[in-house]
Amino acid sequence: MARTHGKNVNYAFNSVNLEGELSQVVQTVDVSATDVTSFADVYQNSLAGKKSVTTEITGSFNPSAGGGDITLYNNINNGAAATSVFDPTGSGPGTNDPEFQCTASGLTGALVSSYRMSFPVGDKASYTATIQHSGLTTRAVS
Amino acid sequence: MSTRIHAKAAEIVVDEFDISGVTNSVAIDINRPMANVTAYADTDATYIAGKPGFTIGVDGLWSKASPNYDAEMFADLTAENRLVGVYPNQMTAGERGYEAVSDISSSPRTASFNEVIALNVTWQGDTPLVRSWSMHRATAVGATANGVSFQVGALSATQKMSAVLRVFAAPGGAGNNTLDAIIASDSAEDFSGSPATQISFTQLTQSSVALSEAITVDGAESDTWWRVQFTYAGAGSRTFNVAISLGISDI
Repeated sequence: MARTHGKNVNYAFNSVNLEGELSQVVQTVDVSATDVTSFADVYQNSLAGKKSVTTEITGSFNPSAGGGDITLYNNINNGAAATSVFDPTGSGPGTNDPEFQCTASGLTGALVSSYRMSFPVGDKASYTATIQHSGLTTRAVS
Repeated sequence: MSTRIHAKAAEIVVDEFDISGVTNSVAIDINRPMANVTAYADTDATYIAGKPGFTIGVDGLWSKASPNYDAEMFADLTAENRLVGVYPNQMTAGERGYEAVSDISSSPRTASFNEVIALNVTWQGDTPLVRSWSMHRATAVGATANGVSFQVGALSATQKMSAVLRVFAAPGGAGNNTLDAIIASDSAEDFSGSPATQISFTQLTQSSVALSEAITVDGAESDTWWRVQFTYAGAGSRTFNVAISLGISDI
């Protein structure tokens, strides 16, 4: 049974590799479930809608040129769709080694919907960003 | 390895007040709401971006004197367009931070029988958050000099350069000295091209008090290198405790 440690994750936003400062990536795929339960049903029933993907990234605040701070700040300011690439193993895509990508094209692409920087006196400077995928996110295995 | 910094030396300033001595945590939240525009023909949920906004949450220790954090924050309750600066790794020249024009939206004073009294302030952004450079920070400017040049960048026609001068105290020493601070730009790092004066702050004199001044200039500007230049004049030994920041605003 395959089990994979998260230590080798790669994540890129707008072609900027951020794994050098990230410590966590959470990609969530939600599908709205519309309740269609009728009186005749024994259990509740629902129908699946369209899937929506968000990626939450957490890392060390990096104000250097070409780092995460300027990358995320620029995107949340300009509101432009960018490409998001999440590679859980750091070696994908390949057979049984998926890579999740939302590629900027027209209305499709990844948008920074929130960016939180945190500077507590007793801890590292850090950040968390939520990235909303618009349109198709692919799961590539080759 | 990417730059990583501890937040222990962060500097927080509000107008001409350095409140780093009574604050211990800062969080900047930028949010951009997404409108769902999914149509029947779309395979996946589709979104477009709305307008961004931001808040700055500052956790602090209630202080009624030296510095009088409580009185200053109370006075700020209905004051608009306060200049909040956050520098995660000190405010020395060359460090990056954020500058905001903002209003207080919340400032609870929380007193519990077994804890220090807290004064936490939430600042609501008024204008675009500016990712700034600390261009110069010196506690005793007392000579004509040029600051270090930094490649802050060129301005497009839809951008502005936003500068903030902070004088943290009345000038020390004696005499009738004046200090003129300007921000100049050039195409070359060593300012060997055709330097241009972009921003001129109000002249500081022996009568100056702690103050802050924000100035913006419109793009376009092709120069990418920027620096602070001081002209010191008069007789005496006055020194000026100043910080100057600069950053590009998209609107």
